[in-house]
Amino acid sequence: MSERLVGILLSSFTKILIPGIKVTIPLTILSFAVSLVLGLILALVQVMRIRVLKEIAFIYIWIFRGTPLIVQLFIIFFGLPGLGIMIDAFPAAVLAFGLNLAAYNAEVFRSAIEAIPAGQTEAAYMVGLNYPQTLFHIVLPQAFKIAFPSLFNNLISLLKDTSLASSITVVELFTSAQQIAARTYEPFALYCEAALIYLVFSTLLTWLQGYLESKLVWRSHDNTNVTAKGRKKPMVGI
Amino acid sequence: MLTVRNLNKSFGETKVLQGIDLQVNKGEVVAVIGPSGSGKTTMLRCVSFLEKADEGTLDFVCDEGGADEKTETYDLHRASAHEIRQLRSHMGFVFQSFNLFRNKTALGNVTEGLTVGHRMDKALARKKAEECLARVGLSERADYYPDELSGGQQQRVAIARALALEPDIILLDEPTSALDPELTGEVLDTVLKLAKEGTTMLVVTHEMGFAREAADRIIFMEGGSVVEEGTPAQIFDSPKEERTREFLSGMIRP
Repeated sequence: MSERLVGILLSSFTKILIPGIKVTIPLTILSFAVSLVLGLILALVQVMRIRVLKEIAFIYIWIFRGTPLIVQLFIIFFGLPGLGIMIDAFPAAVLAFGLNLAAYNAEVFRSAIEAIPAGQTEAAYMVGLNYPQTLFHIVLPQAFKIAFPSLFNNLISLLKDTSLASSITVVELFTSAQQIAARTYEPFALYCEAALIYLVFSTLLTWLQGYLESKLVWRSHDNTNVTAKGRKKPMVGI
Repeated sequence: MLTVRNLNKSFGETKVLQGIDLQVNKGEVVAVIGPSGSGKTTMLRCVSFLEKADEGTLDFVCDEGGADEKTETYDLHRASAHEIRQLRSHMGFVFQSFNLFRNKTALGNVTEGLTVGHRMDKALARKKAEECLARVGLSERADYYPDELSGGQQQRVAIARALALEPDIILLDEPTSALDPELTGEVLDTVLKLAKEGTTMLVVTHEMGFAREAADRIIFMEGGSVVEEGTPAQIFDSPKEERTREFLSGMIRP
């Protein structure tokens, strides 16, 4: 490896990493927050079978899962100004990623909610809980635990997909790498460097997932660590 | 306490219940027996509105013999959500598959209905739940989650959960059918103990020995109708109907 290349890689490292930390990560977190809230709402109106809203949710998921993310990004950033709606690049990216992932998370939430046996809902009704109480006290805590690994999977996908924001002028991790690659004519080295930083971020997320899952399992545990059958305690509620 | 009149229910083309009439008096244990598919479980689910009947009425005496005694009549097909809630607050239900809340401890399963459903004070609910767990012999398992309990223990927690609301009647839907044979005993003993304490119960069961011992009255159902009813001695020792005899000879082996 030439001395020049080493110099480029070293000097570019912080120039790629800092936009990664300052832009890619906030973009990921904000978009994910939007997708969680909206995804849960979309799932709930479906399982609660609320008229009209249920159909709207279905159409929403159909459209956002059925069209490419980059096209949605372009419609929001380049298309909406044509209708008089101007959105800055960063919020436009948050909106596009959030709206898109909401469709996927809605399906994760819906299937997790439907995985909770109906018998528990019946039991809840019989002890005097109404539907919202049953949902929030019994069904959703268990559904959230089932949904957790899939949601995290989507979060890691999102982290990498935020690189698409480079195409609507957001200066994030990948944009910075592109700019330096164009200036230095070392695309292979620079894009590998960018890839490495994404890999580090997603590895950290994977560790976080493992940690949170172990918290989810043990959190409400009391003094005892052994089951009636002498096994180690299996998964419990949150 | 509870009088069902002309209960009818179909699933599509199949008539599951055909004009069931049934009565349970205060302090009485009534066991419903019959072959699979005779509509026993559906009958129980219609009475508790877990299933919507096509036709039928239910007279229910709340707090019978007490200061607030009051008879309500419910249309089993058309009752409002409010009426259903009101009836259920006087009724406990024990499911074949326990249906414990898996995100709650044994104690949490019992307090949930008290604190969330009926807005009881938390400390009071806890005390009440501990009493109920003691009645089913599970005080030491209060902090265990359903996954950490045996099937028999889970069903006893479910019984404690039903008891906690001080219902006028408890409906039990084949409470031991999902259990391994060696675990049925502890659940049946628990139910038997409640019977001796004077708890009004309507039990669907396949345990003939238990039905004979615990029940004041036996109802034999087949094909969605009540074929015969009487005391355990009448039904088991000298059944009047041929179909009852056939069923029992298949169930009880000498």
